[in-house]
Amino acid sequence: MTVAVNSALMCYAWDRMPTDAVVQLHSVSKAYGLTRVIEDLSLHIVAGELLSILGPSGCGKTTTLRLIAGFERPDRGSIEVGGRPVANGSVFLPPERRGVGMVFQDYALFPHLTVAQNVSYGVRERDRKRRVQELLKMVGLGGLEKRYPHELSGGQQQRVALARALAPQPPIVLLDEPFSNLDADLRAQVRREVRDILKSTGTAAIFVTHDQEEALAIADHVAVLHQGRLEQTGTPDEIYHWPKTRFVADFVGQADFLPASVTPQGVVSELGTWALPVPVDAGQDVELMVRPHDTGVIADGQGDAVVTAREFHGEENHYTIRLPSGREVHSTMPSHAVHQVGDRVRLAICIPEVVIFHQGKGLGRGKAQASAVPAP
Amino acid sequence: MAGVGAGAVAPTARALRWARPWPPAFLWLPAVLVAGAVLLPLAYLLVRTLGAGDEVWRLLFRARTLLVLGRSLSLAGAVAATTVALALPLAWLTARTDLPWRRLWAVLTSLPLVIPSYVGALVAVSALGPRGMLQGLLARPFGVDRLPEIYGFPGAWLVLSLLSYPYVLLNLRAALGRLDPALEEASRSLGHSAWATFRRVTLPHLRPALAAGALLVALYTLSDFGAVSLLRFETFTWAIYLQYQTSFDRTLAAALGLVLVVFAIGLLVLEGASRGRSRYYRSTAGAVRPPAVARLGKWRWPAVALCALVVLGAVALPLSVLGYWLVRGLLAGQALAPLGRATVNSLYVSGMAAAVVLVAALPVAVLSVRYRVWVVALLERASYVGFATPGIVVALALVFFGARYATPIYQTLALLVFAYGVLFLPTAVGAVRSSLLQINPNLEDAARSLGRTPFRAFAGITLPLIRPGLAAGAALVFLLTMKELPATLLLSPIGFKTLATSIWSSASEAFFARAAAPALLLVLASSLSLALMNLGERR
Repeated sequence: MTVAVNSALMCYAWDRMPTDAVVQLHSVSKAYGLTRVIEDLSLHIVAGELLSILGPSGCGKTTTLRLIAGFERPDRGSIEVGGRPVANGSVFLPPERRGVGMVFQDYALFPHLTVAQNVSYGVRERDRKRRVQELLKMVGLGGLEKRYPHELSGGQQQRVALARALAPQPPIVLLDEPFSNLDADLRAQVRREVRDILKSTGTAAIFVTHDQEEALAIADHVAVLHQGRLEQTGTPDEIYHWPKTRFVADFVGQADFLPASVTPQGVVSELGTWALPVPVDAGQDVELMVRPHDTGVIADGQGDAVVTAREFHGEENHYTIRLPSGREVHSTMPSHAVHQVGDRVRLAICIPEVVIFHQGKGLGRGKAQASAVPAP
Repeated sequence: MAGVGAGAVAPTARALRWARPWPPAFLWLPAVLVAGAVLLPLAYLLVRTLGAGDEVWRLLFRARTLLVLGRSLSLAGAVAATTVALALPLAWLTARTDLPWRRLWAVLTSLPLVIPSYVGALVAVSALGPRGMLQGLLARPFGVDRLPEIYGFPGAWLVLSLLSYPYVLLNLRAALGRLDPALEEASRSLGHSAWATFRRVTLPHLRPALAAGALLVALYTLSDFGAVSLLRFETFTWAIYLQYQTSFDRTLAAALGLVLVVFAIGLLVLEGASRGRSRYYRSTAGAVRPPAVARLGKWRWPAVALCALVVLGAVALPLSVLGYWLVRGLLAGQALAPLGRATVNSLYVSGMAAAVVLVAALPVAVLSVRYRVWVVALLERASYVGFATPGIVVALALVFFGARYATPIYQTLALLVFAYGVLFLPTAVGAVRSSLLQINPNLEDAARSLGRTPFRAFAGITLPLIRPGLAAGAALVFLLTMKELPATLLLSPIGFKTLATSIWSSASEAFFARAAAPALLLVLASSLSLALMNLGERR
């Protein structure tokens, strides 16, 4: 069984030579007792970049941060910060000598120190006062120097934590679920502000999150972690549109996976036939990824599909459609496109780029041909 | 919402998860030294007893030993049962009902905590003993010339029950406070009456607290020396003291001490097991709604009478009796001058003990909270040896050890303070531990990521934050040292009298008037430190 692998996708890790890497992990592994938390993880981040580590809870995201910060010791592999080895078989630098800033999930502000004292805690230079002023102004908290952490709102505490981490001017800041303690309304605003602050200071940042929307919205690159293994790295667009594994496809956004077979004509599925994105041997069974936003529902009394559920979300309608085979697919339609449960419909699939999986692995990426026409 | 609060939700789970492989030397080195030091007396006792050969076993299995064992256990059982019977209604009345002056009763019913057992015994003997106050009162109008015997079991049972029920009471009140009111409401909504709900929902939830409290009281009774010695009830502690005083060969005293430790450990293991289960009964942290208040109706005044009766018997009468003897002594020209010396001594040695114990407790507590590896768990267990070793046993072991191997410090304050250290280290470790558990471990990590070494992160961040806990621990040790009797009796340098030893020696010679002033002073000092501690906790 030969599978031609698309080089453009698989070689992502090599196409940016990490000569300017701020942090680099080589084949890092970490276990607690018998539980393997990180398996053979290699990652890097370049100066000024925002990297998001995305994954479900328990995937090893926070452990990765703590390995970089120096709170954990890797079992195998090596870690470099600023081109300097900080952890490998023979070296282990404690956190205080790594120069890595950290923003904790619960902010970990020192409750017995004022805002100014918190921010200046890591500053060694003489001109502490000016530096504190500068930072607080930057995060929009000028005038609150004398306050104590408990006298601030959640969003303000968040910004103090960021200012404190940035105060010693580290080349990189690590943020552990930085927005998870904020209200939903506040979250979008604060994360934009945090992104702007990081970009304006040119500080590279790694932030971990389980919220895919958050990762896609503010990161330059996203690394998806699953059970301690790196599933995929790429730009937010790459991660969403060209997932390399079924896990990524499923975790980032919603998707239906339809059984399909490879024929000389292309990928044949219940919903139609598409041109192959990459050369694949005929006769193979594959799965075709279809996103709900790519699936249109058209009212058709002669149609062979049936609406089985409708959820109205205000700005959108979420439909569940049963196909003749009994399989169900999902569709997201505009607010006013209303169909009732039990209505006969037909589907109009508009896949700009075909993504297929063989045994859970992506078979590469390519433009779908215009000839792709759904079956009547 | 964030900061300390967020970290306080599951700090132990967090600490477990991020267990470091090996703690820094500034923590484990002193902790190992402390654990070794507190284990020393017990280890020495063990070696000494086992070294004595077969004769010890013959002595131990005599009928008299079994008799002593029987007395100790029956007293512990009776006192535990009585305290449960007293504490259960009092806890419910003061926590969950519309009892008139409920808050006042809540404070008053926990006051017996400040009365040491030998002061209680002194009061019992002087008031209820032969030719005592009660008999004197009854003699003229009724011609009563004999009262039921107060010496022996009845007196010890009465005094220890009345003074130790607050241990159960406080446990129960805390458990009632933790109980999610929604559970009781659910039971009522499912058709159960108030009484059936109490029986089927509330009581099962209180059972772990009840068991833990009762076992603590049993332990307290088992290791009490003051009351049983003044009331001449020959339980283990008193038998050990007699054996030590009268016999030339002290091996039997050592052996008896070890037997007592075995039983104390047994009680502690049971207590630990009952507490371990209690965690399942606790409601989630979110239940902050105050529980429903039960209306007493026509039972209001009988309930007040019950509270008043207990407070009268356990607090008001003892204090009045002491006041009576004080006035009588003063009128008879009793000098208060010797009291000054004893007070200064008490304050001095208690202050020293508090400082030493706190310094010793700090590394052990930090290790046990932040580094959950098995060696640390072992160290922490070792530091708890004082819980299981009654004061008389620690004192005895140190007398043996000091006389034989440490003659330079034998009969010095250093050895006495060391004994206090062994006895009260667990208390201090507990206080420091509970305040450390409130501190988000991320704070130290944050300090590390901002360039601080582990030691400076601890000294600059953690230490200032746990200062209230340290103060509470110190106050508690201070209070316990002020009240401590057997170790002080056996280990004080010659001529070094404290309030506790003055009370005991005056009382055992029936000079009640001479004992009253120091007893009242001790109660006053205990109340002050308790009040301070409560204030500290509330802030």
